[in-house]
Amino acid sequence: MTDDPSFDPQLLDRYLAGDLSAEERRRYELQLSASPLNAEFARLLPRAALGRTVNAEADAAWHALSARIASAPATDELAPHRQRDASAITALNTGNTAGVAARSRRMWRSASVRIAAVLCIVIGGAATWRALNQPRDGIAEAPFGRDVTTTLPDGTQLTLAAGSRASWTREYGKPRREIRLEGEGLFVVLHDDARPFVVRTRDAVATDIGTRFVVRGWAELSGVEVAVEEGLVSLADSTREHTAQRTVLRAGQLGRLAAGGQVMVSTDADAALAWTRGQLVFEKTPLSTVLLALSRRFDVELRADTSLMTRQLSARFSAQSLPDVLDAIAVALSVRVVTNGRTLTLLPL
Amino acid sequence: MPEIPVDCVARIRTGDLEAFEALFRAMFAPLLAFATRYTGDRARAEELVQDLFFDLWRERARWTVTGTVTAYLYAALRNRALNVRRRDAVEQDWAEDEAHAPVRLLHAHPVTMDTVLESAELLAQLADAMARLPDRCALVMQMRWHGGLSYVEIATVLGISPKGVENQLARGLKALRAELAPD
Repeated sequence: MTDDPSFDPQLLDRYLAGDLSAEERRRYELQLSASPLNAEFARLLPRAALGRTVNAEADAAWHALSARIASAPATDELAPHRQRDASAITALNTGNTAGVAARSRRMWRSASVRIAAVLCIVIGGAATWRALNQPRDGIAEAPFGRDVTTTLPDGTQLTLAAGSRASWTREYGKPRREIRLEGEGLFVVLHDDARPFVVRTRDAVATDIGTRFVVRGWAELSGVEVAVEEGLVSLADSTREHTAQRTVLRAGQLGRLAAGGQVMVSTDADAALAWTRGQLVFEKTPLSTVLLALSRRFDVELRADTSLMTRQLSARFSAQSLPDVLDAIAVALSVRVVTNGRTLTLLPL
Repeated sequence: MPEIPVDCVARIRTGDLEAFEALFRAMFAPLLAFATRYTGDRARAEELVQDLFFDLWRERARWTVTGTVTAYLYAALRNRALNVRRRDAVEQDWAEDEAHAPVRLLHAHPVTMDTVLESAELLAQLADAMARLPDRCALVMQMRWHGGLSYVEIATVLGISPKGVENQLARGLKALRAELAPD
């Protein structure tokens, strides 16, 4: 690499930074005409340097920020009574057993949780004082737009998918460890023969025999699904829970509890587990279901023309932003996306 | 160059959400690129940028800026990256004087110029070369052309000398151009 006398980096820098004087501008233009390479370099460099951030990303980021501002308590306001804060508060109130690890919003969250904890003691008075010294009923929630990981009283790790809720009673672990789930959650269970771990959702009961599994009880699914990543899980209709009619699922298997109590077993666990790795996977999924999943995951309102709802999507997304995901869907299904504030609508081309 | 209202800080201080949005939109991409380079993690970088603006808005009544608002934002973002482990690695050798070491692309591969490359290919090649520049050099370039900071402002943000900034830019530009130049 030899220095080319026709190239003065400082001139190019001043051009890119936008502060060339008239005299420098003349010299800069001379530099461009001195070699085609100089001209090409000056033309391409800003684009290479600017990277790949697009307007849509700034839009999405601004939406996220303004939503966060709107839902945050004002600084001079003592009571954070917005729904969003409730998730962190309820998780804290379970007797120091549940910690909420929020991926983002850590700083404002910790401040509002502190305020909430103080308020709770003041309002609850003696009852709260007693309750703090005893095991209590517990709730953990994940708001739209964000997964929440929490530790249950026995050390079991629960990651709730955005838009899900789990609750347990003070009898948890005595000896049964029983959780009620609305939505979808990943359970990483420390197995204990003496204290069976049981997840109830809709009309299904999943009992852990092994370690790591997802239970999906979304209302839009035709039946509750259990996907096993490690270990063994038994799945049964809640009315047959105490009979021998339960199906044992192994690692890699997905069980779907159909109406009538039958469990259909397939090897599609991977797609159901994808969200726990930050991916979104759809396999011949109707658009109506896709939109529900996306609106929970990205905390947006998604609509579509009814003629599109039965179209099927097969796609795999890893850590993509909503605009990227929608772009891909628009291409795959031949639709267009119309944005109106926080509402996005898919329409036929 | 980002379009930022001139009286933006004063307007934001009085609770002007429109001015705040304009500042956010103008600076989101450059700050995100900067933080991504700093932390080596795009998701974490987005979080840092959002947290910065969230706190700015919350504390807006007490917000004061000496110098330009862009320089303030870069400096604040760098401070917020304090807890990010990678930052130490990125800044480790900044204390040493950069006046003598030439900037070389990391893992540079020989460029074949036997055919005339299309612009798109050149662009991809250049973007790839940018990614392989030493962090210090890339950060200086981003602040300069993306954020429109002066040498002195960049020097203040990064804690190096203005001369060092100038050297980084000149040597970085030469290294990038050499990547495209047939020998």
